[in-house]
Amino acid sequence: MKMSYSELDHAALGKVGMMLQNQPDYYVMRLKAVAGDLTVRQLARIAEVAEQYGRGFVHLSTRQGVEIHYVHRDNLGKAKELLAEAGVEMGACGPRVRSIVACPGGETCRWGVIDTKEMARELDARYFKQEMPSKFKFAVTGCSSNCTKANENDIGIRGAIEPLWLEDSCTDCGLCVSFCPVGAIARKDTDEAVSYEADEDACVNCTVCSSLCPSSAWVVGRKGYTVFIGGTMGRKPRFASVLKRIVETEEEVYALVDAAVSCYREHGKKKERFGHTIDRIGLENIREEIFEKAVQHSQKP
Amino acid sequence: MKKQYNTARSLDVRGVSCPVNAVRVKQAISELGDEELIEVLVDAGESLIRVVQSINDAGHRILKSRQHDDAVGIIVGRNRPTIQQQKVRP
Repeated sequence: MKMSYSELDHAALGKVGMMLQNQPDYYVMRLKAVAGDLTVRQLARIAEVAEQYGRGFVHLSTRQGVEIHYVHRDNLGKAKELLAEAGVEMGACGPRVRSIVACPGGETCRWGVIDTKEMARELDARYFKQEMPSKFKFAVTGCSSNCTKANENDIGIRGAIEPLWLEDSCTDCGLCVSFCPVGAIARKDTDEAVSYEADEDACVNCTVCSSLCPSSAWVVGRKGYTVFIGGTMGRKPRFASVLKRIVETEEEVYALVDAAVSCYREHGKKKERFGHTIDRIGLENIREEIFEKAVQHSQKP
Repeated sequence: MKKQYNTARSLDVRGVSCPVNAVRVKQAISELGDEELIEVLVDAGESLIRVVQSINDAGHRILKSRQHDDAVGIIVGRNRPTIQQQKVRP
């Protein structure tokens, strides 16, 4: 399929992941990868297309995607077709939901608390390429190590646990006080007994204590997802705010995400990132509205 | 009441980077007799996490720890087969 020049509407091309380069007539083809995963077959096809229609190299984006640069406008259709045959879809540009990034998560990582890839695929199915007031980025990360930087995204989901101390298992070795990365664990020594406590506010909900305690006295009390909203880097950086510290079910995560997206669509000005909408309206107001909407959402049959 | 541990040996791996610190610690523990204990001195932070992870994975017994300024002393005994079995990850 050869595109005629009149068909080349840049906004329309942007919608399907093709961006005009500095060089007239040449385009970047941004490809989609969910959670940064591509099969070797897809990679082989991408290499073929980059060789044939690009300049024999690919660019790896900061959002775990692959871009083919220097594709002439006359070849965009053919290149897209070849990629599609191997199941490689185009990415997103402009004011819409971008590729969902995720770390490898609990499937392969010893620190991973949640199945990040499964959640990334679900978010992709629900929101990818949908129109928004501005660009919109999702990230899913398996634990507090935060490898995919949940708090730099418009919506970030991070695996989280709440540790629980079991008196009967504890041998009072004291190691937890030393290895807690944020110094949240304290040893309390009274005349009657020794106990260990994790300060809820200081705790970052990682799994270091529950994984490393030599006598398994620190265990996972509650496990779930921390949901962040309103993170962005770029020209006006803003770290995300915590919407809810521990969400215990996937259903509730999706209800909250849906509610947050709907709030942003309602209040967000054109080209205003979610975080800046939150700052304009007030975090507490937005949180309240999101929680209200999420409840209505979960009450739907 | 403070329990006293009789540590016949000690090993200082402060300033030794991962994973060499963990390897040295494991080696030293494997040379212990059944009832012998060793005190290992490790940098706090990521090094401590790595070293403890490796001690746990091998099923050795951590009995006590002492926090120093930027380091932690850990008193460790050799594994026993039953403990090792429990600690094997799926």
